[in-house]
Amino acid sequence: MQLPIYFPLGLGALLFGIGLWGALTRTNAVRILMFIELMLNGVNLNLMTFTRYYYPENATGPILTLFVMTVAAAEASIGLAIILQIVRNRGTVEVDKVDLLKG
Amino acid sequence: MTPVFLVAAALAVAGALGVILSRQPVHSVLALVLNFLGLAALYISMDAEFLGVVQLIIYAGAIMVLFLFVIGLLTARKDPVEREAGEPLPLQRPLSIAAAGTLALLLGGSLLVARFGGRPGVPTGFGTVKEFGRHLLVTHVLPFELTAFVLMVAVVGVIVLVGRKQA
Amino acid sequence: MPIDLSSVNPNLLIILPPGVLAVFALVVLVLDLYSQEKRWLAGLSLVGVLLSLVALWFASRPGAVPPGDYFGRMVTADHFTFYMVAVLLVAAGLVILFSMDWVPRRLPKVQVEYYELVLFATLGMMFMAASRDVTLIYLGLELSSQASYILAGLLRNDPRSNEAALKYFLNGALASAVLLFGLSILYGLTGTTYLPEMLVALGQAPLPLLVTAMVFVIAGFGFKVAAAPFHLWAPDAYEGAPTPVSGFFSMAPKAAAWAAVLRVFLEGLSIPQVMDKWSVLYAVLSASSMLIGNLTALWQTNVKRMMAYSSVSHAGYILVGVAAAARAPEVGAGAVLFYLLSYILTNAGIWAALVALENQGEGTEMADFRGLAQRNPALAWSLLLLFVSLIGIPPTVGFFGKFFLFRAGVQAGYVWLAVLMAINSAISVGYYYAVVRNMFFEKTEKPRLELGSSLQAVVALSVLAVLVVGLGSSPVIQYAEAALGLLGR
Repeated sequence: MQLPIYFPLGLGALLFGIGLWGALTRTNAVRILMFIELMLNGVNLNLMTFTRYYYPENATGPILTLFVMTVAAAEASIGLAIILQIVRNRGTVEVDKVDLLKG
Repeated sequence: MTPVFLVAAALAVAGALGVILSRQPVHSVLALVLNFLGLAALYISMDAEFLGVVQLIIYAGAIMVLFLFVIGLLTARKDPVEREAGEPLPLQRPLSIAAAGTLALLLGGSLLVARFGGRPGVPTGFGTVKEFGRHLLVTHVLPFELTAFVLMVAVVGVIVLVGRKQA
Repeated sequence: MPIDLSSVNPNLLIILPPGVLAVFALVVLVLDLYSQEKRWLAGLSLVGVLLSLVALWFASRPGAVPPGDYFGRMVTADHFTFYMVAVLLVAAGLVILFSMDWVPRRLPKVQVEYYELVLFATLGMMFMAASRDVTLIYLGLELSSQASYILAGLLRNDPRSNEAALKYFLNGALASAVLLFGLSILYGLTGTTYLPEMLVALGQAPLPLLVTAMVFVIAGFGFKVAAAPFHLWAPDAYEGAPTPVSGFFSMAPKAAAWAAVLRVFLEGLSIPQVMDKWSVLYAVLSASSMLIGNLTALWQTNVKRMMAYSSVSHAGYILVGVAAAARAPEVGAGAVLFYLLSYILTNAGIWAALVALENQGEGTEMADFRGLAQRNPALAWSLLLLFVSLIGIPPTVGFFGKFFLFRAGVQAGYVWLAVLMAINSAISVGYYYAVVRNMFFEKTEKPRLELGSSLQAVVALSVLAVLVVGLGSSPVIQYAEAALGLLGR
């Protein structure tokens, strides 16, 4: 039995949406970073689904997925380094308490 | 395929909800690992074995361990990493509504895209390491080299930001 | 299975400019381990940028690299690439030049890493501008963004710098994810990441989903270029980041992001059904950026922060050209390309003055500009000229930049937007005048403000360029419009 494409696509959109929701409403910087990872996973699932269903002869989608994973790893390490720095100097990971620069 | 998908999707959604609902950051990380496990299973069921394995090694293996270490480091200090849920931020309500709106839009959109019925068969070699290697080093050689620089920047950056050198 | 290299089409000359830059970046990184004296490594980075410009000149001679796509259609040889890469290299060179006195004072332990990160960021931006493939545009964007996050946080014992890095990072990472989601839908609709093929395949795509994807891409790029309402990170990042780094942010990464916007929207999303839609969306973003940027800038007391809001409003002016490009591609995009050059040349001098103040241990508040005309008359008059250019008064380059944007707006039927731009230029006089008033009409007891030779060079180059490029703008705009000869069909 064939699974219609909107199941995996819907799942990808759901993951992205949960990630976006969390990233916009939470204040803990480590958490926000996790939600961004979740969003990127939604993107990856999208790319893979489209490739598998419509363009299986195409290598671009999986390769872009691989690049997204690599970049996500680099991004997470930089983000966590920045967060560690904040905690050293300010003792908090709450974004709304980091407010020396008034907005 | 369908039962595999349903189980994997359930894992992924449960993980995603776990990230947002759990109070302890450590639990969030573990829920995120669950989510990644589900996704890895999905990739493998879509005949992309290599990506499934990479998903496990990079995400569940490397990134999540990094998160765990950092959270461990942060909780070892006196500062509590998590506080009680307090007053919502000024922008929180409109932002949540906007996020929910995009979510609904996306789900609707993904229904619209279902214009073809079936899936064509996969060509031989789909999703294997060999296929990836060929493309990475032939047509995608420039982006591949550029990822090396991305990783290099991350290394330089982390050393500069938290290394001993500047202290 | 033998590997088919014919589809790759390598050409060493076209990747020589980024190649030279990458080699210099790596050499500088290694020499850092063996050298106690760091200042000459800054000079070496600058040499790398200059040699990269020379390599670009070789590659851009007529007939040196036949127009087309190379390396598996990843990099494109056309006027657009050559023009934008040249602009980005000029920006990087100016930034390195005005950092040379500042870095040993404020970042003594990580001097070389500073130049390193600037070079890596520039490398990423060069690929963003040179590619017609979304994969490489995305990776270039990430390389430059990640280097930028680190640059923002380099003053690691200064909580304000930490905060700037955190805000820039969280917003930037979120923007990347949003952009990528839009791109993934575009890939799903067309099966390709190569923009010209995407354009062909989009004709059959279902419109609602296409528009959804487009909105995501616009939002993602909107963050990167700091167009209101996606600009909230910019003032904090600019104010908290090290001063030369803020100068870098206002010049190079934005120009590269604009290049990517033009590529993606004119080469990939230019089918008539969606062109009208993104044109209108960009027009709305343009109006809000101009108004929010200018009106908020009026209340600022910190000049770095004021320049951040000023850059938001300038993003609004540039968006006039982007919106117009949907209806008149050559004129609109040509005006954008010219404006990018003019904005970079003008901004370099202003940021050099801010760096000079910090070099003497002063801040970047409005009050720090008091009596600058006594302390260094040449600098004060130069700044006056540069502000005049940012406002857009003839005969400076800023006037011509705004004039071309205005003309593009009118030609594309956005008369209301063009008029709004003129009104906003008038509003912007308010906050630039606040600095000028402090410089000329306030008294101070502070000693003379000395500029190092490299800072003097930047201010002089900036002033010279503002006058010369302004008066000789017709060849530049012709080249900028010719750059669109290969684009926008």
